[in-house]
Amino acid sequence: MNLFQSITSALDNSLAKDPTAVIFGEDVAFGGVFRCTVGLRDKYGKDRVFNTPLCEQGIVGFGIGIAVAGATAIAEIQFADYIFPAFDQIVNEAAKYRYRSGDLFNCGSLTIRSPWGCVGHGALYHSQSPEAFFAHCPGIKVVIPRSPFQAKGLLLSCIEDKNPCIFFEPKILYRAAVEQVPIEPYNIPLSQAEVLQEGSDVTLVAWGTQVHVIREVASMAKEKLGVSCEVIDLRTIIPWDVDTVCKSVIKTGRLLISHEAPLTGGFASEISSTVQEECFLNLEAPISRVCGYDTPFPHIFEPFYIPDKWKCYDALRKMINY
Amino acid sequence: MAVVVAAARFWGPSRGLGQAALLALRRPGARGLARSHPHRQQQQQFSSLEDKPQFPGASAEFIDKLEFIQPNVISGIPIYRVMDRQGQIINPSEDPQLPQEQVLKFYKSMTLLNTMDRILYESQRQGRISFYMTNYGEEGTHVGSAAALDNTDLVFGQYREAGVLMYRDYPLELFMAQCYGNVSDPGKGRQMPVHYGCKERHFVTISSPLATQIPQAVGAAYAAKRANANRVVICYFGEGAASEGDAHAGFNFAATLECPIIFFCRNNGYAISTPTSEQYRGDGIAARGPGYGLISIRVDGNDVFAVYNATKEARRRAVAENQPFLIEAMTYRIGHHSTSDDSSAYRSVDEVNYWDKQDHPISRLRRYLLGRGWWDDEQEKAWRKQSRKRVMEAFEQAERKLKPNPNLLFSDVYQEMPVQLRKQQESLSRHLQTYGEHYPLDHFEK
Repeated sequence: MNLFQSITSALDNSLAKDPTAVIFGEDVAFGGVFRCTVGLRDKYGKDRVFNTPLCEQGIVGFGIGIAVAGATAIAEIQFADYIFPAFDQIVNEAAKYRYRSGDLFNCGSLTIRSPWGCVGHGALYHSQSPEAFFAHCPGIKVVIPRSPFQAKGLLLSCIEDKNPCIFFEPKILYRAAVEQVPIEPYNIPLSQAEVLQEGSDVTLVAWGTQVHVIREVASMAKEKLGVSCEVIDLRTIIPWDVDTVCKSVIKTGRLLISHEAPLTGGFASEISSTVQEECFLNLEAPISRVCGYDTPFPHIFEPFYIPDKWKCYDALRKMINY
Repeated sequence: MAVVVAAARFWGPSRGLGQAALLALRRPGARGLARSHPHRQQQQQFSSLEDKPQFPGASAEFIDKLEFIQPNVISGIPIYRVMDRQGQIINPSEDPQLPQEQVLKFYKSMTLLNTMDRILYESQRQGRISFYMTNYGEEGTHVGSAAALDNTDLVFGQYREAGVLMYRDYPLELFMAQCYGNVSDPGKGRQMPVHYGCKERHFVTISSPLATQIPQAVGAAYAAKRANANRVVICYFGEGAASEGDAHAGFNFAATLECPIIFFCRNNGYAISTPTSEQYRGDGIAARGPGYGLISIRVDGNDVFAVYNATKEARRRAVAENQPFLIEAMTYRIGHHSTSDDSSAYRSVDEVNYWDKQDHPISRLRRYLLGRGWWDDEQEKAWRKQSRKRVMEAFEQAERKLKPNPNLLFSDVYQEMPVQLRKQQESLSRHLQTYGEHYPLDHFEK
C-alpha cells in the first residue's frame, strides 16, 4: 500500500471496530483531496463519513463535542497550513478539557488528521510543518509517521488513545511511499521513538519525510567518512521519548536534529535543550540543528530552502571534525 | 428583458455545453464528479425553454428591477411573552398551566440562586474567594429553559447559567466548593470560580473562552442523533459571544448536519461594557437564524413561562425532526459583569434600577404566585430566612475546608501522566521539602 492507502486502511479498521466512529472535514465524502477516505462513505454510510462546511474552527469544535459525548471523532483538516483557525479550539479547549474539569469530562476520542510538510511546489500555504506550535501545549499528542506501515499503526494508536491527538501525514509520501502493510489492524505505541539503525559516532534524529533524508545521510557518512550513525525516528513529538534520544547521545556523544520547519523555535530547539541538560558531559560537539530557514516556505526557492542531505551531511562533517 | 436576450445570443454557440455543465452541477452530490452523462441529464431536466435560474447555490426567481434588501431593525422580530410585567397571563391559551409544585420550584430555584449570588459576591469583596459572577436579572432564562428540558439533556453553558444547575438540584456545597477550590471541588481546584461542571447532571464544565462551546454543542448533538438517544443538547451564550467566529461556525454546522440542538442566546444588553449598539447592527441574534436555515424565535427572557414554552416546543421538535432551533431570550444584566467590573462606569444607576424594580423575572413570577394564591408574605419571609440559612451554612463549611493536595496540579493533563511530567512533579516535591515554609502548605491537604 502507499501512504494514503494505509491511512484508508486504518480508517476502515476503525469504523469497522467502533460503531461510534465518524470521519468528517472538507471534501472527505467523495474520498478526499488526497484520496485518504475513498470508499468509506459507501461502505459505512453518509452519517459516518460526511462533509462539513468550510470552517476549520467548526470542524475541530464539532469534533470535540462528538468526543465529549463519548463517540469517536476523526476530523480532517485539509492542509496543516489551515489548522490555525482551529488553534483556539485545540489549545484552549481540547488540550485542557480533562484537566480543567477535574476529569469529569474529556475529548480523548478526538483525532485530527492533516496533510503536512513540503511537496515540491506547495509554497507558503501547502507545505507547512506546524508541529512546534502544538508542542508547546500540554494535553494533546502530536504524531508524525515516516511511512505507510508506520502511519497505519500510529494512526490507529492515536484514534484509540484516550487523549486528543493530532496526526500529521507527510503529503509528499502519499503516493511515493509504498510498502507492505497488513490489512488487519495493529498498533504502534505513541511516545516511543524508533532506532532505525544503530551506530556509535553520531545520533541523527528526525520525523516524517526527513527520516528518509537522514537515513541517506547515514549512508553517505559511512561511505565517505567511515562514520557510524545511529538513526532515530522520533514519531511522537509530544510527549516525546526523551530516554531513547538521551540514551543514544550518551553512547555517541554527538547529536544532529533535522526538520523542514523553520529553525527558530522549531522542535529541534526543545530536543537540543533537553539533551544538553541530560547529556552535557557526554557531548563531544555542540548539538547541530539542520532546519528550514526563518522564512515563510517559498515556492520557486524550495530546493534551496529545504534541509536536504547535503546540508545535513555538511553539518555532520563539521560535528565530526569539531 | 432585452439584456437577457442579447446575452443569450452572445453565448449562443457554446450554450449547449454550458447548459449541460450547469445541469450536471445542479444535482446534489454530483459536485466535482462527472457521474451522469450530460446529454441524458439535459433531456431529463431541460424540458422547456423557460428562463429559470439554474444556479446550484440558491433556489430563487429572477428579478429585473434593481432592489436592495433593507434590513429592518426598527420593527424587529417580535418578543413572545406569556405574562405581563405584573405577572398576569395575557393570553390564557399560552399559559403552560404548570402545577403549583413545579412553579414553586421555579420560584425557589431563582431566589435561592439570588441569595447565593449575594453572599458569594460579598465573599469576594471580603477577599474570601478570588472572583465571582452574579446572575441578577437572568434567573428566568436559566430556570424556564432548564425546566423545559429532560434531566439528561446535555447542557453547554458560557458562564452565566448557574440557575440551570440550581434547577437540577446541584448542591450549594458543590457550588461553593468550586468557588473556594477546596477539597470537595469536583473540578479539583483547577479553575476560577463559577466554572462549574457536573457529569451526573449533564452540565459540561464551563470554560472562559467565549463561544467555544457552540460548535462543541453541535458535535455532541450530532453524536446524540447517531445514538438515537432522544436527547437534545442546549447551548447557552450571550449576545456578545454570538459575535465570535465559533458562533457562526456552530450555527452553520448545526443546520447543514441536521443536529438536535437548541441555541439559547441570553441577550442581556451588555458584553462587559459594550452595549448591543456596538455589538451588532442587525436585528439582534434571532434575525441571524434564518440566514443559516435555523428556525428561530425571540422571547421575553424575564418571563419564565415564555422561556419555558419556547424551549419546550423547540425541544420537542428538535428531537422529533433532528433540526436546530435558535431562541433569543431578551433580558437585562442587572449586576456588574463580574467582581472585576464596576458598571457605573458605563451605565446609569437609573437604568439598572428600572430593570431591578419594574421588570424582574423573580418579581413577575412572585406576582403570578400571589395571584394564584400559591404564595404569601408569610411564606416569603420564612423562605428568605430558610434559604439564607442554607446558603450561610454551606458557605461556612466551604470556608473551613482545606484546598486539594498540590500533587493535583499535575494530574489529568493526559489520562496517564507522562514520564517527563512525573519528573516535574517529583521536582516540586523535592523543592517543597527544602523551601516549603515559603508556600501556603497549611491550607492544602497533605
